[in-house]
Order: sequence, then structure tokens, then C-alpha cells
Amino acid sequence: MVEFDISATAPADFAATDMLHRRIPLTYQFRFMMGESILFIKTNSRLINAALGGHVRGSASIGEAGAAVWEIAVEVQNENASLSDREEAEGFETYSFGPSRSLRMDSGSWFAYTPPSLSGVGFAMVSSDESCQIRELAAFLEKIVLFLGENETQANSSLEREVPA
Amino acid sequence: MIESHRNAERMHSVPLGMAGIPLQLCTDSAALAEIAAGFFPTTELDKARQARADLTIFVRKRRDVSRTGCNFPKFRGRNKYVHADYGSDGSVWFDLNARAVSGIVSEDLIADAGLFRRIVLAVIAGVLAPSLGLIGLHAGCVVRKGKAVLLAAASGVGKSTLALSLSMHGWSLLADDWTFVANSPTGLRAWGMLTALKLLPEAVSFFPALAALSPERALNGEISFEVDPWSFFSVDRTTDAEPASLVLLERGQCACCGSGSHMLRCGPEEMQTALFKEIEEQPVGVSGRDDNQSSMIERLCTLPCFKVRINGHPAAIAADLDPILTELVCG
Repeated sequence: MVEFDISATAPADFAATDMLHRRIPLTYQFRFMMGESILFIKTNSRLINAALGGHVRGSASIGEAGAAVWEIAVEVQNENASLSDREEAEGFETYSFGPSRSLRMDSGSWFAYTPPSLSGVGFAMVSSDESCQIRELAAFLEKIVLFLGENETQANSSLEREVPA
Repeated sequence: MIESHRNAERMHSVPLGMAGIPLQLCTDSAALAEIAAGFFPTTELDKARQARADLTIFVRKRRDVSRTGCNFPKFRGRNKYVHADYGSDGSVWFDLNARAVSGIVSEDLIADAGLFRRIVLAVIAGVLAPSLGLIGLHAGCVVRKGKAVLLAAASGVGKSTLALSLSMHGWSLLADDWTFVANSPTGLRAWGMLTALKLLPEAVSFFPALAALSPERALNGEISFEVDPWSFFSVDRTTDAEPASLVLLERGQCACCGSGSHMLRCGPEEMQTALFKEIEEQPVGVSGRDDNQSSMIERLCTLPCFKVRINGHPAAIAADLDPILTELVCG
């Protein structure tokens, strides 16, 4: 169910000095529910919508008060860095840096946020094949949801399971 | 995989300094602590002040020993978050607003101190600098009598060869590629880091001693020689100095006289444009993005600015420029 698919502008080239890729244009927007929370995903890939599957909801504005926003840049990896051969249960690590937390998957995909806000940013490294991309993006988004949920339940407990603390 | 890397008994807390700004490192590795202390040396002033940024770096075995190590970090960042991904050799994370850096790096990476300085510590310095109120200028810098001349240019124009050649004419080498500028109680101050001098392969024709080395891929992808200039070429080193002049280098002969090193006056606007072009703009909402960079560059460009079209052997260019620059900074 496509409720939100805004392609506002054509992606611009990166600036010559933009080595950190902070300015990848995120021209698609999707809204979905995580538990009781409304979340928006701003992304450069329309396939996020398919990866969200049945979780896509509603058609409200991204400026909706209180909604968290994930900025997810999707990058297709070159053939040498094929991801499609990876095992289904991809490994991951979590980190704590200052007030922020992050998740890094073996594929190199990552997500970072600063509790208690659920807003964050991520980079998804995907294969060139579109069907693989949807599966990889779905796994990535699912992992983020689990990560945020786990952090929420551990908010007042020890951070000993995170590295480095 | 979620791991625990906390072991308070083995932790080392080390004061560090970057361009006169105190930092604090927490690590479980004595070797890492030693390398970092050498790269980010403190001043007496730093030790008396509260750290402006916290670094936490743990060392462990390589994530996946079956894979080869990653000598080049893959940078990705958005908003206040930056991640330098070293593959099987670890990750370093930045929260630019909190000025917090945390990472895990492999034992293999620490074992090569030069590589660790080049691809981890230099990266930390570069990414963190704007959040600390510093600007990293794509410029070499040479110093005489405490006065610095910044040599700004795009990659490949010849900053490093000229900075090195001037150092062989009695100037102290502060930086060959990136110079950090900071506010200080007495005004702007230029700082260099203990990074390797990067020379393109053709530099071997100017500096024959390089023939004993093999060029390698540098962090920016260029194939180049990377050497410690202070030991390899026995030139003097200066860590910081008061900026006295800016020189914008361009390739080519002077249009007016055909000389390989003719200095022309350069307007502050032209110099500002050249410096801004090489600066990574900070994202909206990230500390250090405000007008700090702009105001510092504007102040810097009130100093005498020159443009030099360089062409030919850097030693000859340095011989031409040396008396002019010396007169400029020493009066």
C-alpha cells in the first residue's frame, strides 16, 4: 500500500568536498507505525516502501507534531562487495558514543540516534539486484526497530551490553 | 553480536591536545594511549583546562580474521552523526554536537602505528575539528621566526613539494596539506598535526631520496609517497605559529612575465573563495557550523594575500620565493 511517495526533485550531484555524503538528497518520504509511535522515513530509495511491507500507514504530513524522522540513505554496493551471499542472520554490533547510540550491521549498514528521541539517521548498504535490495532493506529496518525497542527497555539499566560505553 | 568492552582495571585515561584544545582519551590499550599522546600532544595550558571532547577507543581482535584488513575508512555522515567504517578492523563513531568519539579498532591496526595515525587519528582530527571551533584549511604551512605563511591550493598543484622545498631553505614545516586554524587569546593561530608528508610519485625527480621508498595509496585515493618529513628530510618542525600571510598556489607560468614563481597580490575575496571551496560545510544544526568558519576565514584573509603561479622545479621556486616570503613575514 503506497501512501506516501514524494519525489520532489531530481537528486543533485554531491559537492566535490562532500566526502561524508551528508547531503545525499532524500526525496522519498514514507510514514509508518512502530508500536504506538508514528515514524517518517526520508530516503533516496523508493524500495523502502516495499521493504516496509504492511507497516506503511496513513498519509499525514511529515511535519506532524511529535513524529520521529529517520533519514535513511540507501547505497548500492559495487559488485565486489556483493551482499546477496550473506547469511540471513546478519551479525551486528551496537555502540554508545556520548549520548548517542548506533547499530552497525556486517554489511556496513548503520543507524544512529540519540535517546530519548526516536529520530535518527542511517545508511543502508544494499546489493545491486532490486529483489535483494528489498530483502536487505527489510532486514535493516527490522533490526533498527529491534534496536530502538531494546534500548528503550534498557534505558534505565546498565549499558554493559553496549560497546564502547 | 553484542559485546562488552568494559574493564575498568585496564583503562587508561590520557589527556590529549589538538590545536591548543584539550581532549580526553579513555582506552583499554597502553599502545593506543602512547600513539595518541604522540599525535595529539598537550600543552601545559591544555592540562589545566577541561577537555572539550571525549574520545573512547577500545582495541580488540579483528572482527573477521578471514577477511583482509581495511586500510581505508569508509566515511558516512549525516546531521551530527559520522561513522568511519574500517571493515573488519573496526568502527569509529562521532556525535559532533556532544563532541564525543567512540570506537573499536583491531589489534592489527594498532600494531602499525604509522597506519593508525594516518587512517584513524588523522581522521578523528579532521572530522572533529569544526566542532572544536577549528577550521581545517587545505593548505601547507611554513614558518620563520614564529610567523606562518599558508600555502593554499587544490590537490596536485604542489603544496607539499613547495612546503618541503621551503623547509630546505630554512623555514620550519608546520603542515604540507592540512593546516588547522584556531582562535587564541592573541588572535588566530595556525597549527599542524604530526601527519606524514604526502608527495605524488613524480616528486621523486625533485627529491631523489624518495626512490628508496614505494608509493602507496593515500587516504584520498591518490598514489603517493608518505614520509615523516622531519626525520626523512631532516627539516625543522613547528607545531604552531601566528599566521602572517596567505599564498594561493596555481599551476602554470605567470601570464605577465612567464616566470615560474611570480607573486601577485590577491584580493581577500579571491582568497576567501579559494579557501571556502576546499572546506567541508558542516550540516545544519551541528556545532561549529555557525558563522565561526566564515568569520575566521574572513579574518585570516585580512592578512596580506598573494597568488603564485608555479611551474618548474620546486627547489628553484622555493629559492625565488624564500627571500620574498622572508621579507614579508620578518619585515
